[in-house]
Amino acid sequence: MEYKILFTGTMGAGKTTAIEKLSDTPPVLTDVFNTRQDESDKTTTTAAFDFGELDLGEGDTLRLYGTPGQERFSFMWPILARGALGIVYLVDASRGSIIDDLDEFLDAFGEQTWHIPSVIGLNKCDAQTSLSVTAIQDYLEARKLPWPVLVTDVRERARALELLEVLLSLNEALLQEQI
Amino acid sequence: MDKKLERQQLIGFAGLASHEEAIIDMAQRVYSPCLTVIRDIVDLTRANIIFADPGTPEGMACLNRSEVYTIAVQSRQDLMFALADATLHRPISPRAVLELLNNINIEKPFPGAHPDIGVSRDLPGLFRIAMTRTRQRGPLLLKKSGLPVMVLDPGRDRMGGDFSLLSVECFLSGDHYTAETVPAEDVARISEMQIEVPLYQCLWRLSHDLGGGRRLFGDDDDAVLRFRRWPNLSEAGISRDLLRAVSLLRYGSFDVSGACHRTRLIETDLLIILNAAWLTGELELVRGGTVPLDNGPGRAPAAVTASLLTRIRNRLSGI
Repeated sequence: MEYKILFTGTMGAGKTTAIEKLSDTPPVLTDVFNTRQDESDKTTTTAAFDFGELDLGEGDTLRLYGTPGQERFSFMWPILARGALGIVYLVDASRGSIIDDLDEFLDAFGEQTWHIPSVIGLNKCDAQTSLSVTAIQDYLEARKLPWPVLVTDVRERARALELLEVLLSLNEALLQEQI
Repeated sequence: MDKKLERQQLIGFAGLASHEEAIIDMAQRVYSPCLTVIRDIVDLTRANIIFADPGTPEGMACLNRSEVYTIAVQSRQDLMFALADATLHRPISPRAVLELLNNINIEKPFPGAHPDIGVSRDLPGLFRIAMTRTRQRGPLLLKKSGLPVMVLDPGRDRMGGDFSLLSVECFLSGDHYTAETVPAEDVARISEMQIEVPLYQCLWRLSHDLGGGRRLFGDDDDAVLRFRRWPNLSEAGISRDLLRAVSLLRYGSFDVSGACHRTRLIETDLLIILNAAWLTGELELVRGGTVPLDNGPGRAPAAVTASLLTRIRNRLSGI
């Protein structure tokens, strides 16, 4: 059986890096030339989606999908999210628009995906990290989305693992409630 | 605009939905480096900048007031409300709030800001009060016997003053201090004379130093605990075991022994999180009555089982 976890966020938020760090096989990347240099100075960006995978044994596989960051591909996001174990929303803290970025992504994914266990990963942080986390917490509270916000650095595997640990724990909490 | 007048500007809301108020409040903090002034949010009687919905009687009444600066909050399709000094379109975007706040040009007189009446508590209690003042995020000046000893400024995530008070012994001494809000210029003057450190980081370090030796939230057996929201762990540096524990406890109420059982952690480990979240105001005590259920994280996909989660964990950990 195949399971999946999604990584989403703006261009340059760290989706591809996170998948590279977590996948136990070289991830399949679908980079193309970035035509939106105004959004990110990356030379390439993901056109379809990146994916890496982990073989869980017994014929099961966990797939890690990275959504294409450019907004023109946003129609794909809710489709990719169907049946996911969780969604990691990566937020690029170095941009001056973390709330607006998150707001756009939440709207694009749509209300039908908000029941999926999700975590916000604040990547590329600086000294004002605590305030940014508080701002995102306040924003999520305003939208009645009780999701965790974690500071991360997805270049480090251990930090990227923390995001997945939270998603697994949220699933575990839901299972406990069902018992 | 005169800087002195700017500091006396106070925001109020009339007829807005709570999530709209929260977005305006939040926009001030997330974009604070881009704002010329951070304004306190107060009740309508004290406010001189009012965000008002013309579609509500309360909002309409405010929009007719000439002595305050009014911002009509309305849909883009609605006709501009002539009496308002400015318009903010729904749905409210934090970026639009930023632009609007930076363009406020007031020539109307302002009533002066009123400082909070001082409260007296022990240090853990005052830290918690400082962190939970969601409506007025101005700095708090802590005094002992009338003398200033510390400034707590959650709005900037900074604190300064006599750090010896943060030793476990002093922090738990039970001595009472008073806290009061002070004008921003006074706090700036005090802050210039002392070293400042990140407030959130301090609270987590304090909790680590306490070492799970005491429950800051008391030992009331009739009360249960619940996380008001997922705690801000940005300065915590906690292990994956503790992350898991927060996930398991976040969406329900619990007592300490039940929480230990559920997370399979010993109390001293768990108290590091619970004490820190108590100080930051993210953990609350509920006495008697029914504990309101929080929105859960959703529902687990049908195919998820405990053994699947264990296999994924093992695989990720290289086991």
